[in-house]
Amino acid sequence: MKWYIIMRLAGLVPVLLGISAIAFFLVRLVPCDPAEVYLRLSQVPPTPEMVAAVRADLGLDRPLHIQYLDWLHKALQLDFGLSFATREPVLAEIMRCFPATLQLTLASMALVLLISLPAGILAALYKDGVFDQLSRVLAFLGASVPNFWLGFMLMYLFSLKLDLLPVLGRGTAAHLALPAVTLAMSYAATYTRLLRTSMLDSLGSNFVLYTRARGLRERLVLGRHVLKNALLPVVTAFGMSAGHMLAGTVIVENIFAWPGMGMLCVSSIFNRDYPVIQCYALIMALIFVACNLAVDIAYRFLDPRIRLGGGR
Amino acid sequence: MENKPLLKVDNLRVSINVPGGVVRALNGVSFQINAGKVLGLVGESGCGKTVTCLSLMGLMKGQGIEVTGKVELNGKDLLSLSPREMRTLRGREMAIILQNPMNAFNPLVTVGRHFTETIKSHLPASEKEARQTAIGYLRRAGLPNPGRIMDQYPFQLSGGMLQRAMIAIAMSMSPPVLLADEPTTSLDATLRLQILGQIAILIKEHNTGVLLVSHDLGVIARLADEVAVMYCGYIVEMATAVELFNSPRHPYTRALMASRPGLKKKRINPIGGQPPSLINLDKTCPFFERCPGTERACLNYEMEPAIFSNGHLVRCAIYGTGRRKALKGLA
Amino acid sequence: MTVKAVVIKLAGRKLTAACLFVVLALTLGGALAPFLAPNDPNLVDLGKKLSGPGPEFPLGADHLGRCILSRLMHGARISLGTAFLVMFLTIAASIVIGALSGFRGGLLDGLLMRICDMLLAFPSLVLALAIIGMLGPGLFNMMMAMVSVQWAWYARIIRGMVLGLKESGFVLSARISGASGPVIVARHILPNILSQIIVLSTLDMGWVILHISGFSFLGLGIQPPTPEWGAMLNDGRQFLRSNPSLMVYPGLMILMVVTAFNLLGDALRDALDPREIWGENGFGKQTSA
Repeated sequence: MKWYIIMRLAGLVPVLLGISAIAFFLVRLVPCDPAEVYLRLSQVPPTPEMVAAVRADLGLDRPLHIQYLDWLHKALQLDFGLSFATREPVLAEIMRCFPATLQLTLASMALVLLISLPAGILAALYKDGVFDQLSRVLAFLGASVPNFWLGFMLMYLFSLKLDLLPVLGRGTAAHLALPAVTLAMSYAATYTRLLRTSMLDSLGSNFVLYTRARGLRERLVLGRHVLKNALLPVVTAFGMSAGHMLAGTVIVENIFAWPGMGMLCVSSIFNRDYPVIQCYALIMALIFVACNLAVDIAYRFLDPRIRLGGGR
Repeated sequence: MENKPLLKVDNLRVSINVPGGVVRALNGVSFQINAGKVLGLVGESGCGKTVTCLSLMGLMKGQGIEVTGKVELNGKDLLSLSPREMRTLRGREMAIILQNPMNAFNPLVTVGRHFTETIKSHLPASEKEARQTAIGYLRRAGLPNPGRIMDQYPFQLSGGMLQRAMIAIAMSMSPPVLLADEPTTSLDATLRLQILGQIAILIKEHNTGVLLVSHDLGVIARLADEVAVMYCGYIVEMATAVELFNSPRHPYTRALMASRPGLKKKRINPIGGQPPSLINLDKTCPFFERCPGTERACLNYEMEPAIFSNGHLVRCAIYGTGRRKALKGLA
Repeated sequence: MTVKAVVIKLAGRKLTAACLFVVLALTLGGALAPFLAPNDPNLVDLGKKLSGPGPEFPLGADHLGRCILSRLMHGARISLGTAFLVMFLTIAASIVIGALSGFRGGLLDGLLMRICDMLLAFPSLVLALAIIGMLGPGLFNMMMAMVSVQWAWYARIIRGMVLGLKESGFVLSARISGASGPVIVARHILPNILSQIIVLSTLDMGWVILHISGFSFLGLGIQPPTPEWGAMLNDGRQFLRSNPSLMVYPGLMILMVVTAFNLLGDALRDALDPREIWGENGFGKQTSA
């Protein structure tokens, strides 16, 4: 197990280099001179001399690969430069917003599990029943509904009409409710169906027939045998989704004025605050990779066929 | 004791509604199994052998599946039992060995857990007691180092070992009736004899009545006291093993025997063609298209049995329709 | 299975037929919006702002007195048009790259696939946002961002399909008869994988539409006053309390289109299931023969 993790981490090196390269070259896409943008944001008229000075200052006058290595060197020391807009270190800016985004994502993930676990299991157990049909319809709507619309509809209903929940901002648990539901909805729909499918696969398998043939109680059949196997593919997918959900907060944060990384990212795009956007992309990719790694390790832990090697 | 059958199956019918019509998987299957005796059930794949086992266990359930007839175990009518009563009976009074041990075990659960959960489902035993019992039975099933096997996962054992474990699990409850559904099919030829020997020893010890299902006449010949030949959901021939192997009467049984590889044979004669689709069968004998000696009567044959004086049962139009006396001369 | 058979199979199911109808009606309605729409979608008339439904404005007017129905119809034109274009560009790029990678193999294949890996290491939304951030908001930049995020996924799949067919009998016989690489790909391989690509892209259309309107909602995509559904939602958000209908209609449009595409994609996948196309033995159909 220890060796597996070490090998897996070693295998990540090229991926991380690739991610860093993309993050670095992203800034090259900027159609105008970043130095000029920097001066404009600093309220300084961009004279040629000033631009040249800033270019030297930001290291933009050196060859590209030197710039990359230099940037990578600094990035490894967690120095991502200063925000054009606030002159604060970029990382500090992002870290200030990170807890809010993390809180929202975790709350949504909990909601997804809370909804899709029972719903998926019930839909599979009562296949083609009323609940299954209902969940099918809801799952389809959930996967198709734009969350930037759903958010407003929920806000209209619960905050404006019923006056149950606060409209905007972050603070109490009540503030968290609507953004978390909005973010969770499409994932809950997807996972309900996913769990239903894998439950049905499991229910139809030979080993479940054998548990019944041995006269096990239905509770044991479902709990120990059906569910355990049905959850395995769900775990994998859920790890992937965690990364996507974290990224997907952009829109939800924007609707509910949730002061997280997504809000920061969008305002940085409008401010042309390139270092912040770059760092945001880099950190999100790192989290994404870390989630996938965590899933791989968890999977190894859960599935003895992989953990103990061999297998047929 | 010998005279009173343990398991009595009478006119068992299974039909499955599918989009294209009705699959008649079993069409009036009747047989009985006595204590300590082995009934061999032989036939091609898809003829209804597994369906027979599953419906005896009350596991033929699902949309559009209908099971009728009578299954009596020690005088209890199984088809009228509640699901709960049926559950406690499965594994305890009637155990099963499934055909593919490799996928019958849950890959995420240890072999030992499979064993102890079965014991604890039927007996008030602690985990520790169940474990001790399990280890004992694994050893008796001829598995080396049973303590270690208990903690291993199914994928770590070979097919033969899993099959032995499955036999051990089945026998641990000393069930009066054992259903063995192709117990050796997925195994190597060398292992087959060992496993069959193991089953033979265990049934002698426990005086178990066995339904031994196989497509392999060799396996049947080795263990069975009585043999039933199944085709398209009908028992087309049934007799004691000696009688059946010495004087097979149904053309299908003869064809099955001719298709077996053997040392003295120059060549194998496979049965030509395929069994008909079981959807919406008509009155023609289902073996009609593959039968070497057909008559006009075969086109309108309701599969009534002809029973010879020595109890030999045949469902074939050639032997007339159920009139016992007319057949005496032929026998 | 012929195209006709597929269409008959799809139309045979009521729900699928309804989805097909929604997609076709909106495509047609969008394309003909300049002729069908009752009003000019961008005509500002502050005197009629936020007026309710009536003979002039069937669905009422927005905060600048513009006809909501006309804007929705033109919105179909823009949303669907952009989505089709993004999808087309993505598919085109990934067919070229995937076929090149799969058919040529070797170093080029390795290099292209490593690039794909790197792109796929990012959550797609994040990378798209970052690219838009660097290029700046706007319709063209948003399309570029979406294509550059999506092609890697398709290229990988198409490469796999090409690899699978490369060694098949009919490709080998085409090679033996001296056909050149591009000809083999275009004449023999592409027709065989096209149906699967169509299924994939139909399933993905919903995703593309959601993202286009999502970006536009954030102000990063299609810019006002262009009548795009996501942008219309953004316009309406200040009037959520007083005039929720400004937000209800565009959202319903998106919901309807995305649902239709998702259901259609599912039905297409079922109808074009390779097992059915190629029959039991797997050699039923070869469009290139």
